[in-house]
Amino acid sequence: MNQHRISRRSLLKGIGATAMLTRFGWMNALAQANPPDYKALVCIFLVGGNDGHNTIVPLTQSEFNAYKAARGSLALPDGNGPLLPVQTPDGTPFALNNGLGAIHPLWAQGKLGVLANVGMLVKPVSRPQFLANSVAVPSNLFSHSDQIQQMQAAIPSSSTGTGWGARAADRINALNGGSAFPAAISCAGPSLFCTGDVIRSASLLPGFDLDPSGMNLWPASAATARKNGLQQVLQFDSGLALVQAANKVRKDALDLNALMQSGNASISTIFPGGSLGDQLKQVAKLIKLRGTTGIKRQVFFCSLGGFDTHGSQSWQHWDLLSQVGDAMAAFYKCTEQELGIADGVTSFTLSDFGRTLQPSGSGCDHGWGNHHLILGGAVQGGRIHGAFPSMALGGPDDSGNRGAFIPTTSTEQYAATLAKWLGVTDQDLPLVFKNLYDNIGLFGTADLGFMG
Amino acid sequence: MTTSRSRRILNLFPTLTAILALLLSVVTGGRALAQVAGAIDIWPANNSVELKGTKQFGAYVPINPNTVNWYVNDVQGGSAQLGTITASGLYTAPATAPTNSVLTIKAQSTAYPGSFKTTSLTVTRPYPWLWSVSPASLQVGNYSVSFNGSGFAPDSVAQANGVDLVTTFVSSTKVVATGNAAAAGTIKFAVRQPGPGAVTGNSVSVVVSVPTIAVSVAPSAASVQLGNTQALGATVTGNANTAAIWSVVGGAVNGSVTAAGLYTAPAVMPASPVVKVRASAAANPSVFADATVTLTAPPAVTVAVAPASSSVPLGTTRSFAATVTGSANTAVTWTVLGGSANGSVSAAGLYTPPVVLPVPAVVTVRATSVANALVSADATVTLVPAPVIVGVSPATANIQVGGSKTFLASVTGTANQAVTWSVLGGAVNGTIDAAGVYLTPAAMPASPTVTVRATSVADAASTADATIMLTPAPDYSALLAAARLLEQTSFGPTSAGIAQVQQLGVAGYLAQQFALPPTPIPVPADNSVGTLQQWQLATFSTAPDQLRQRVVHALSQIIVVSANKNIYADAMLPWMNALNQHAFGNYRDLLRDVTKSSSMGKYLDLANSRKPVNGSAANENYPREIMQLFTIGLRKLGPDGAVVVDAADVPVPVYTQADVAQLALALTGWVYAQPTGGSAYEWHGAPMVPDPANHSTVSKTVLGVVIPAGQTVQQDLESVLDILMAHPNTAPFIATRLIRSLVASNPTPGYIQRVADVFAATGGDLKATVTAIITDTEARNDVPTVDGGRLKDPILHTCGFLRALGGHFNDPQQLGYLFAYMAQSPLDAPSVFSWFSPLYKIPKTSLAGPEFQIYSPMEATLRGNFFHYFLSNPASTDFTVDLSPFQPFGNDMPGLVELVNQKLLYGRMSAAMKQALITAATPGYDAKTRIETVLYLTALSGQYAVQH
Repeated sequence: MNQHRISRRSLLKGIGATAMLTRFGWMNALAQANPPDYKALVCIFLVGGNDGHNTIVPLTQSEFNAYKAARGSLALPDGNGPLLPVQTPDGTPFALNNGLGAIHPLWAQGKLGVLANVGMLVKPVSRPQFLANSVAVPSNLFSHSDQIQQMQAAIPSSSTGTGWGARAADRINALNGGSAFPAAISCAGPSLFCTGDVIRSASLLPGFDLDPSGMNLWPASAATARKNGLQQVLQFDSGLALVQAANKVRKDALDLNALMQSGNASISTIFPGGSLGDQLKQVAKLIKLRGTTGIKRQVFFCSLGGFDTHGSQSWQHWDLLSQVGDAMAAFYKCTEQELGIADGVTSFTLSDFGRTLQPSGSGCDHGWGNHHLILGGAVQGGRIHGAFPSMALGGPDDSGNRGAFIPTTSTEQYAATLAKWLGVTDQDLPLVFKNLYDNIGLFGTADLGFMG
Repeated sequence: MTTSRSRRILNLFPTLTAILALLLSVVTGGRALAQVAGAIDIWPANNSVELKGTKQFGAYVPINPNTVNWYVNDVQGGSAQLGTITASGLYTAPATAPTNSVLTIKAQSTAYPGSFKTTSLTVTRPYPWLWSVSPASLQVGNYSVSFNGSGFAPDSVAQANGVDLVTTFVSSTKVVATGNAAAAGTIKFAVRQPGPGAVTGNSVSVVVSVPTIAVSVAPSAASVQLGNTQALGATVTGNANTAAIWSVVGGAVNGSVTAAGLYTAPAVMPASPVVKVRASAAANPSVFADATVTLTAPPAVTVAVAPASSSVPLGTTRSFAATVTGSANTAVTWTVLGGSANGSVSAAGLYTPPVVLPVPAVVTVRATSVANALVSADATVTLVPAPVIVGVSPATANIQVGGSKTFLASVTGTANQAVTWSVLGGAVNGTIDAAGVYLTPAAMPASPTVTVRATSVADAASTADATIMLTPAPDYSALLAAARLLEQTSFGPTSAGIAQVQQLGVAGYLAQQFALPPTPIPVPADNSVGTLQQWQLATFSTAPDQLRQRVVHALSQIIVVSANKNIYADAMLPWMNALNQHAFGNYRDLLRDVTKSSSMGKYLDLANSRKPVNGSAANENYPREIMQLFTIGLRKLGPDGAVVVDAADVPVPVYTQADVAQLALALTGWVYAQPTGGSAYEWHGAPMVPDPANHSTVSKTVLGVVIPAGQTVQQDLESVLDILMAHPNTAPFIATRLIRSLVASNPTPGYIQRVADVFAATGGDLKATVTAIITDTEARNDVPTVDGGRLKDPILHTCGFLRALGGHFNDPQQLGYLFAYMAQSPLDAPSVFSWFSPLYKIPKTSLAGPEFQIYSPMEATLRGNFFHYFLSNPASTDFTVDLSPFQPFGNDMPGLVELVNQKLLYGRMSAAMKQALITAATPGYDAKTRIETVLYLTALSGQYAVQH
């Protein structure tokens, strides 16, 4: 009698779980235990304008001397520790900021690369052209609000309603089949990067598993009745399309809540505490759910603030880069060792803009071109992509005389290379990066070759 | 050395943070670093300030020029979160303490950025003054104390000798706390404000004393028959140990007493019939009290039972009577020998047989005298099987069409209690489920009398019926008509609003609304956008000019300026005032004022756009958006809003890049106005002014229309407005957007064209256009259509819910982050494309659903949790809600559900949903929980989320 009751209850539980997935329109969980093919882009936005000059430093004697001369009191190494040396395949020496110790070994393993002097461009522009104002440049350079938008939009104007991550995901949404699981997810609040023409930006804050309030009340019978009541209320067929659609969103939320709290989303890799570690752990949880949800292509957005280092930069910048390095290293380790998907996940940095090489007091000012980190199993790592600028104030790469370098690679090229790897076809790329392809003759290529 | 690791600070919304905190930084451009002679000094040093308080800083600058810029945490001028600091050093603390409440104030030379001085400033929450506590003295033990003072907050924590107490917030001048005084002495009470900016207030001392011990016994006197018992109770006061020790004076000859005070009289009468039973305090046995017991001899008792023998069918009952003689106490206790398998008998002697026939089928029912438990009498009962009989409760019911009722079946004569339910006559008369829940049909059937039948599963021949008299559903048509009008023309219906609409009619209500003056927009003293956001939510949820504010809300999503770039209130106000002023005016006047406004000049860079020199181009940002977003859109439209396509089915673009460039030339030459004696740099005190020297005077061709050469800045603007207002796209474009914002996401082409015709015929008269939208038959059709309605955005959804509950936003500053998470931070759209795209389609459908773009599962959950917050925090200062209309229905679930149906769904709740809510709410612990369940679940429903 007792035994019979128990087995019947487990049976019902099993039926409930399957029914939940079916309602959410996901693929059969059992049949998809090992999706053959999954890719994700994970954008890490360094809000405020990361100082690329102190993120990676040239170590050839002449350039290092020029760097030290121009950087003055900001020059590395400083009291936070020694520079971490790396070299390109041809032996050219560079060094990473001491704060990036956690990801430093991944350079030698060929997983971590740097794209040098990349920034928003309308068209390639030289120093003389820039000084003569004879070639169009993005609107409102050096302005945080505008450049944050432009970097996320990959459009050299601040007037846009979509971000390039979601626009890329829009184009390959068919690969996600019937999965209703969000394809563009921000772990840092609503983001332009994840807002597409088709794809809705899903925001999933770390630590918030979509728990509905007011569902744990006393006595337990009242809680159960309230939960059951909600399920019922959401299931009535009103015959009204928008009402049904609104109910579906909330049903999806309840299912997603159950999913997020299930063992399927449990991560054992240790992530560093703090905002970025929490966000990347959330991304890892969501990637782990791919087998349950059937999703095949996703873009994620995370961010860390505090990079507007106009003053007191030395320790602050080291500390911020430590957070970035520690979190990215834990995330890579998780994708490689726990999730087994390192080749399918690429994390990369974006930031408002670079900073001036010349310091102002104990910090530096808003610049333009910047160096960015790219990490993943599919990355052509262990090298510098793009052209590393000459460390000369007022030199050929300088937009003025303070080392606000004119980008030699466009953000759109950076983005398009990642989007192509994600799966956007050559036919569709011009629809995602219109300005780049309008001027492809000037830019030369949309694929910088740093992926796979 | 920084002691607080910045990684602990969650960067919760980077876009906003970045914009507010970072936009302020000054690009020092190409200025060379200069040597600075002398040091800046700053005072006061290392000071503190309360929330919303101000602190004047000064700087001594020994260099020339001696001007400085002020920073908070390296953000020039500070920010809403950090507090703001004026150019003259007046720091105004924020309303909410930042996570790290120790701020760094920096004065930096304007000329020599390398020369600066910093000092720390601690932001504290308001000081919680404790004036007195009540009671003024305490005794050892548990206590409850009222704290009277000032500056208390809902999260204030009372403390005793520095230890936190369980604290209940009553008001800003009173909290109540409970605790325990372990020993005599003095307790110092105080109140602290936790969290960022934590501060602990002054203390008040209270003396704790030890009470004296006393014992009492109840009853103090009793009469007990020999051999019987008497329960006695002892109360010990004045000591924590309230235990008593019982004894009988004179020892066992006088009886015995248990540790629990149960006295048993002796079997034999002692020498004296009066006996003392003593309770001594365990804490001090020398303190005691006695109960005086008078012993009595027992009488001779007899008992008889009638009927002495009988035959009883299962499923029936039999009443027995007992007659007692020889005692004044004629009471008996009834028992069935053999226990429940043989049935049961009530205290009144009503025997109920068991469900299953026992073996043997003869049972004994016994009556035992209460006066003498040794005396009893038996009745012999022979049980015989019974027929299966079904009963239904209630047997009759009156139910409104649209309502429901749960029927209970009882089955006797068999252990199988199962029944099947049916409605005679089939579904036309309603449905009933396996649990006996009957739902009426949607409409009154031919006969209002319906029969519901329960049939025994054990014996299908056994049935029972309940007769239902269906009564007509309440006529909600007038309520629905008024509420739908208000959903389209306000931030949600209120009881007063519905009464007003029913009195005035549609035309009268619109006339009344059109006649109201605009609610004036305040100029925040702190120049903070946060203050404006707060004002706007309060205004949307309370202002009498609801229709105007609703149209402002709609227009603000077409012609967008956002605090993500215009971070100070003064840069937002010209745009806000233009929308407020022209909401019922002319669209052309609105466009002109917005174009010339410093708000838009800054937001989309028209300010200082100059005619081309040296290969530079005029700024095209505003010229593109005035076409794409504010007037004609991207694609050629028919008069009914349909997108025009070419032979290859590709939409036809309505303008080209050449049109943008030409329009940009026409709009060159606008600059910020200059205040008398002040700087024109981003001055927002007046509209922009012409700067003829930088205006391109060549001839331009925009959208095929030639603007002649040689016109002034103003003339070119008027020409641009002529072209855009006359363009055939503008009327259907604006009509579609306004309809989507006010009435429905998927209007029919005919509806769009009717509204567009009015817009065109009146030259863009918004009062006429809004009237056409609201009075159109498609808007006023109260019968829902499959694709009808629109999803409420977060502002409408939350304001509407509060208004339906008789409340409104008050001071929602604590809630701003929730709106940001819900992707609709007021006045702070992420871009000129506003919070969501008017073209957004519901995923995997062809239906437009703009608001669905910001209704992802997380955002939907956050909205739902916001509703729960409203319901569970009715005492919040951020908003008000009035749940008192629901309280009389806390024990009347059908009545409660019907009231919620009226308040939130205007009578449209289905019978099935009503029943689901009744089932969901019924197990609630108390009325409050049940009311919350019904309101909360209804608020979470798609029916409520979609305005339809």
